[in-house]
Amino acid sequence: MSASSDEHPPEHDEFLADVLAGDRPIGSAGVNERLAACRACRVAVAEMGVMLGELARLSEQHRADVAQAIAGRGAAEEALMRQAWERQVRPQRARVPIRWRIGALAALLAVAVALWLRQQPAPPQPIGAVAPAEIALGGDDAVLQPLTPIGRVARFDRFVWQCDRQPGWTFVVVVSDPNAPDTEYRSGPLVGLEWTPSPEQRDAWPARIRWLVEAYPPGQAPVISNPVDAWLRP
Amino acid sequence: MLPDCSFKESQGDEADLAMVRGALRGDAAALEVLVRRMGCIPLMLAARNSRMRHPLSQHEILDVAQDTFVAIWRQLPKFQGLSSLESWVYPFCSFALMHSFRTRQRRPPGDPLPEELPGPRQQSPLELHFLHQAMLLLDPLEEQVVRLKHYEGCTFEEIGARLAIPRNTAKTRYYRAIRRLHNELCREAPEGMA
Repeated sequence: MSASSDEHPPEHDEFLADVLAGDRPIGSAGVNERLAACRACRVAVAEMGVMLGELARLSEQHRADVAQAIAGRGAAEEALMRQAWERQVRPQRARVPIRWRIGALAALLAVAVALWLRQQPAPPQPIGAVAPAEIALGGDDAVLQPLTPIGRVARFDRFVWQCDRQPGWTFVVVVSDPNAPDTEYRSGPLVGLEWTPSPEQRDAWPARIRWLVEAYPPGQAPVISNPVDAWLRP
Repeated sequence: MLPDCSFKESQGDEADLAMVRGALRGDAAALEVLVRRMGCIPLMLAARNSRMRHPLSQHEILDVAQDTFVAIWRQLPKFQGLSSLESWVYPFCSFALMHSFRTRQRRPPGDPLPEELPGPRQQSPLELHFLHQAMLLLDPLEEQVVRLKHYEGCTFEEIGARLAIPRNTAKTRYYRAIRRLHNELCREAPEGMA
């Protein structure tokens, strides 16, 4: 293999797993020789180093918070959990009287009818009817605003939003079904101001979607845009 | 040089697993212990809230704590005793806090929005809730290996013993998991991250 090769035979994964586990120390002759010969391995080792650094930092947060919570747990916290247990968990485990069951059945029926009514075709909406509001981020001009797709569109192939404070920020696009708001699809962390979902992702969505953008400033509370609707042309 | 992530905090807790199973069966003593141990929830939420520069009030934290306990109770049959109960509970608190914050942010038009929270920027944009979210995308065995390696500080020998797999398998699964996590979390990150 040449020194600049991008080829990466499957057996190199075994080598990289050894390096990651510390079984083959970086700096040893065999490892240096392999890294010098395989560019893909060099890239992989660098990437794994970055990921392990992040994992070490985040795991430290995890362990510190857990240890602090164990050490600081007191009567007030236990009373709060006991209250949650008594009010919200234990009643679900108790035997339900027959008249409550009938009431629950009637409520279920009402919910089913309401859901059925909601699924009836909605009257067409003009495109301008769903113009999103800008979300102020604390400055005079700063906004987080979904731009496209909005209203009636041919495809959900590209999501674009506006945010004039994005350097260093991370974004997540959240797509949901307006008829099933609890079901949502979240993109991975994004750096730019647009996202192109894969065809498989798009295929899983209904003809009408509701979407918003979550902005994550490093070390600060996230900012969330207003949701907007988009739907496919019939 | 790859960072040394080894850390020793606790052994896999079979006592926790026995207690949880007892609580799920309705054993009164186990339930008592469980409820007491869940007292960590409001403190974990407060810690996460603090790291996010306090987007939720103390009152909201207490409400979220009760909801989180209910959510954890529903997931409790999935607890396998591979880590301490508190370590297993922590990601639920992370998710619950983010969910609560998102719900609060989705307010009707016209409602005032909270001011941007001030504070120093960190070097990296990767936050803990992203990691917890990305861990869910891993194969369950890979997730357990990463969890044991980084949250519990286990060696590959210990991971193999706990999961009843050979050391080499633990090592290979760990490698795959790290590659996948990097692809999920760092692929589109700005310069300096990847």
